[in-house]
Amino acid sequence: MLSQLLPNRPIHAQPCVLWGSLARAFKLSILTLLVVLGSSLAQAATIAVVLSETRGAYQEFADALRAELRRDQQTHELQIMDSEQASTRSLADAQLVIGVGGKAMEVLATKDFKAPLLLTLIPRSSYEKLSAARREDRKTTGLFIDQPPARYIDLVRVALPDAERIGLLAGRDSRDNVARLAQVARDRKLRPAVELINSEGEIYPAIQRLFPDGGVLLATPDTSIFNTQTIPNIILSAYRFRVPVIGFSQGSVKSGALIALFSTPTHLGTQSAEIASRVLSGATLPAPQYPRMFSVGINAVVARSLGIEMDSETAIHDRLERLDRAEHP
Amino acid sequence: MAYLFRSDKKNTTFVFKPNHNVIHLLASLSLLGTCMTAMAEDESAFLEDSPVVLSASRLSQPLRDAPGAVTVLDREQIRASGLRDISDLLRLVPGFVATIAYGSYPVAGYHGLTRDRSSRMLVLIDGRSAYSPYFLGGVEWNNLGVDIDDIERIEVVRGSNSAAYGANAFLGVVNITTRKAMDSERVSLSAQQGEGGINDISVAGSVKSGDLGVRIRARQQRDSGFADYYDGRNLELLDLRGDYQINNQLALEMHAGTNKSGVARGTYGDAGDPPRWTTTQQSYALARLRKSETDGNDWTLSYYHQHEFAKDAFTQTTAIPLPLQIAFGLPASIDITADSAYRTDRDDIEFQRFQSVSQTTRAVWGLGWRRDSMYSPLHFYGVETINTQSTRLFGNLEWRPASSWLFNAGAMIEKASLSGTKTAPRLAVNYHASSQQTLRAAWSRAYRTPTPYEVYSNTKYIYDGKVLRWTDQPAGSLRPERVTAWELGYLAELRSLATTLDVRIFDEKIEDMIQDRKIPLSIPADQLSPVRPESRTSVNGDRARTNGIEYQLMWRPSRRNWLSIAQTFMNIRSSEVGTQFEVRNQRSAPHVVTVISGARELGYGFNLSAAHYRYGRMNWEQTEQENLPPYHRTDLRLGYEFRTGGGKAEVFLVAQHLGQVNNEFKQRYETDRRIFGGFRWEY
Repeated sequence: MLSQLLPNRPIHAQPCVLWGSLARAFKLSILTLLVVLGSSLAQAATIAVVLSETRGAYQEFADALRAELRRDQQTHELQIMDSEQASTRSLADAQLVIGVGGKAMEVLATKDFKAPLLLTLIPRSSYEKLSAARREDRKTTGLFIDQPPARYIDLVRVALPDAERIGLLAGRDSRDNVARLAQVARDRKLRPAVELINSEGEIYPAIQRLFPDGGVLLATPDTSIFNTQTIPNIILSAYRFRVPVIGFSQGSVKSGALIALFSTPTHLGTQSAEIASRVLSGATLPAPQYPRMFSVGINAVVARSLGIEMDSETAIHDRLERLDRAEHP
Repeated sequence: MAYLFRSDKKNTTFVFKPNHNVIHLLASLSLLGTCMTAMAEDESAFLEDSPVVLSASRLSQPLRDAPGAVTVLDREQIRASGLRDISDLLRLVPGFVATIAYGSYPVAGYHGLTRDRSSRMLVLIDGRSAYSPYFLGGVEWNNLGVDIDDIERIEVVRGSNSAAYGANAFLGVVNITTRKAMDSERVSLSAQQGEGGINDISVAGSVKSGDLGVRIRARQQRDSGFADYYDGRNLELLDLRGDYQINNQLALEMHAGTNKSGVARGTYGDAGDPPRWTTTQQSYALARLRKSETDGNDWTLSYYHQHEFAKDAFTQTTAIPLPLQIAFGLPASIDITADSAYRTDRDDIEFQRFQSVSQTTRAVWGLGWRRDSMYSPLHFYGVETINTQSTRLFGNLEWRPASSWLFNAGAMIEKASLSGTKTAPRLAVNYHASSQQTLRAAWSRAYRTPTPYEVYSNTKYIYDGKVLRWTDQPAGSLRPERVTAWELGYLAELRSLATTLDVRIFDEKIEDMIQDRKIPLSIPADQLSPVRPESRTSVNGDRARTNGIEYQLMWRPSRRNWLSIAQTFMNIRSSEVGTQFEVRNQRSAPHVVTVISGARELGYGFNLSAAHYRYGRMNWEQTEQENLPPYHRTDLRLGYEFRTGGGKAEVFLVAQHLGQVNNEFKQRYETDRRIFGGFRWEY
């Protein structure tokens, strides 16, 4: 309803009846004013959601966002668009802009708008890379797709209490992330081992060096190392050494990782709705954050083949949630 | 442009100053471009599916859940053994004995009853049966069509498992899995040379392009067999493997290869077995389509064709006794040519489905069809070609009512033209006493189908319409051999001690054993054989009962460091139906076999491995005269690994048969010490 009255939609005036159109424009502006006033009284605001693509995971995100806002009885107007539709004009009236995915983030970095920006469904590393390039005066925050290092390491402790040695592969772009994980692992009395990878060819020998006597391989979101082309071989190589792979996506569990920790687009959509509600009711933009909601996936077939007995997904999830709460009361 | 991007963590700050030259600017721009693309893709790693690689059909069953005793040999163990023949590797598996018969003909068997052919065991290479339908059947070790360096792992089922592998999975199943093309090194070269005429060279290369991986291997393996005998061999192999990931669930696996074994045979001065060079050439192609669904559901469809062609011919001049010359009007001597050339073709197609029925129940089932065609003018006189077919339906249900109990029930129903319809069942129960200890009880029945030679062999040497010799007469019909086995197993996987103990107590009853029997000739008087009055045929005869215990205790603190002791204590009793106990089968395996092996990394790139084998009295030929005295054998291997040319290299020295001179096969064949060295380079 409201969107039909927004100025970025062209209003077709008929030039032949000048007076009539002026009168209509006047009526329209009065009406607009009333509606805007009325809507602001009803606390409704416009949230522009820029999706990298209008399908798949991005659509799932949008659906979850809408559902959560509705559940929360929020009457904010959602203006959902793909990254090509995002323009300075289309974003001008939004009270909050949510950029979903890397492509949306990239596009939004070039656009001029006043509303605060929430970037989500992106890994922390991407957010940080662009953080320097963003406008200093814009309020921006992020809701990452990756898991907090502490939770990821805790997964190993909870799901595989016998594992001590944690193998990590670090690429050029993921050294910091890997270093964070290694530090958390050391803090938790585990033995992290890091191998630096410069090219795909180095992955297999690195796995060989990492696991002379077992351990677990913790996959990290570095597409130069873990991508759909390499994941199968990494899983196979690790399996050869009877080393379970811990993944960060649902896909990796299907592929053959023993266990994975991940947040789905629905989780991020729900959490984004919560952030949006708070921001639009006057709270300050929160700091960039990791997802609060997550899932645990276990490949039971792989677990059995490796001879590993594991708790259920729910049990592991609940224990991690308790550890999360203990860490951030 | 003060900066293009900056990482705000302490040690990775990239700052590009505006006064840099154009090249730097372009470089940094392109860097930003790639950076942006990478960023745009970044979340894809979290959201996309990748190919299902560890699916139910690819995963190995954990030993504790296996419905029988299984020994796994991995690449490290294979390499550390220094052994050149795959059959010899089975020495490391409890219950097996192996040797190189006649210096050039590898043979191995589980719990004896082997003779000089591995006819009661089955070898599968990536699902392709290496059980030759020719002659007395068995594994043609010289023509396996796989290079030892391409093997990923060997799983040996100690016992019988027709329920899973079909007929001929009788006493021992050796399941060889080769590496995926994608996992292979880009280039690999190896060569070894030394005493005993050892001269091996092997080259392999692999390429990857997107979802396709291809590996090619060429190899030559030569040695001169026993000293003083004409028994060398020259094995050549060309092998190709391709793996194509069609999409996340569908994958195509392709294998093709050809190999040729040239083997020196015969004895100087023996006109009936003169020195000669024989060849067996085998070619094959296999394609397997695999759909890997998640949650343990997948299926495979495979087809292979295998062609084998052998040449072995010699001419023997036979003197005809004077009375026969007169009676039958024959000349004083006749040249008889024994041309054992044969050709076999096999087509095999199989569909297999893995299904997760419920949380506690999994099923594997499938069906297959095989056709064997065998052409041998010498052995199938007047018929020349024998065609056989078999159809099989198999299934196994695994039920885990509680985490500590696992029940397996499986069966194969096989309809074969040479043995009728047979059902081979298998039942097992595994009890996990703790997470580290498993007790197992299993019962199974398996069959070995008679070979076309055993049923139809009809070997006649004719001269001028007269039968000069009739060495083999057809059996008419034979029942398949049957083994009924009971076993009790204990498996301890003490992870904290890095120790595994695997014990199998067995009782195997083998019935309807097919054996040779001499029978008188029954031919019309005018065609009477002047040379030999009797011929050979096959009959269902002996029974044997084998029982005993075998175990392997292995301490393996890391992949390349281990110490293992394996022992087998067994007793074979044999009887020919209606007669007294026979000696022939009872000595077909030693009462006691002990194998101690170990490997250790010494540091500075050096690694040392050793194996000591002790075998009790036995014989391969099953004749009293050929009893071998107990013997022991020690092998050593020292390797030094280093990096060169951007790849990994190793030079190594292997010493086999250290200590005494042995008789491993027959009394007159002495196995000397053999020392050889070599190198390998992988990139």
